[in-house]
Amino acid sequence: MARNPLRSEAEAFRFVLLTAGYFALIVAAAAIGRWIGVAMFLLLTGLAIWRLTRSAEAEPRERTSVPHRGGADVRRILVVANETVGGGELLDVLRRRAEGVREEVLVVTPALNSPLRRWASDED
Amino acid sequence: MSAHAEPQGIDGHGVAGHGHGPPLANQSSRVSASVLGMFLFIGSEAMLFGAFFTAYFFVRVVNPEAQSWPLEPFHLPVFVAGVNTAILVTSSFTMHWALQSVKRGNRAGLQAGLVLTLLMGMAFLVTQMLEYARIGFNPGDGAFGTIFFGLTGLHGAHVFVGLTLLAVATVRAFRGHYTPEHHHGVEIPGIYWHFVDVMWIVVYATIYLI
Repeated sequence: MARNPLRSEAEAFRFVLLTAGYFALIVAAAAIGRWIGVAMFLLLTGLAIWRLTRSAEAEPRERTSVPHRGGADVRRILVVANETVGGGELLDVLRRRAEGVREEVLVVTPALNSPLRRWASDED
Repeated sequence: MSAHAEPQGIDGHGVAGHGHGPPLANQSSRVSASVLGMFLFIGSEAMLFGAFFTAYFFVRVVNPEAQSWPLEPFHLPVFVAGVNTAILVTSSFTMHWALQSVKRGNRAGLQAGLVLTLLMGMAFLVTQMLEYARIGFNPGDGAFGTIFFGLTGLHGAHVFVGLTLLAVATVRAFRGHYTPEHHHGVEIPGIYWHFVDVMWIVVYATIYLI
């Protein structure tokens, strides 16, 4: 529920509905009494903040699907490296796993940029 | 939007290519450039509205002479604005319908949704202008008049921009430009249109109702 409303049109549309409901409840409460309206505003705003903080902690990992490429004799190897991929031990493992097949190796290494530069630029 | 991996050639571009436009620039940012651009634009516009709402807050809450709202002897057309609100919220539904249609490959639904959204947006603007002519006060009638016309006029300007984006998207939709895989030209104006709707809900609730 508390996802970025600007990530997509569907999220933005959901945000419209939530906003309409939010203000409808506040206006209805305010029509009964001013301080009831204030209480409703505080309640709904607190609820929204609570949901935001909870969903930020428990957001499910985005699943990606990668279509299979190449023939049956092609083996795709994913290497997740925390520092360097130049070690001999790693290369030996890769050679063993690539024996008898055509291999495609994808190496994932940590980005060394600051979060802001990584988010807003094309530098890794 | 879902994440997926496309086959990459040696130069990092899609092997199959998209068949139109220049080659894609190397992009490793987590957010696509077009969505990021709209996000930053809407963020700046939200801050602009925030400044106007701050002024409204001082006129209504902090001002010791503001015993009632609207201030005497002004009156606000709550019912007509309510009808306008219903029109704008309905236009969000038709905009969403248009996006869902293009994702399913339903071109007729996309075109109908965009046309209906465009027509309802125009109806909103025309109604707003008619109310301006009949409301009985103008921006020079003290801080109340200034903040009322400032907030609603600022929103009206945003509706006009949204209608311009929608008009372009509608023309392109009738020319067969969008596909289920490539419809950023509808998605981005859709996000902007929903932002315009949200801002009107906030304006209507705080200025007219509360």
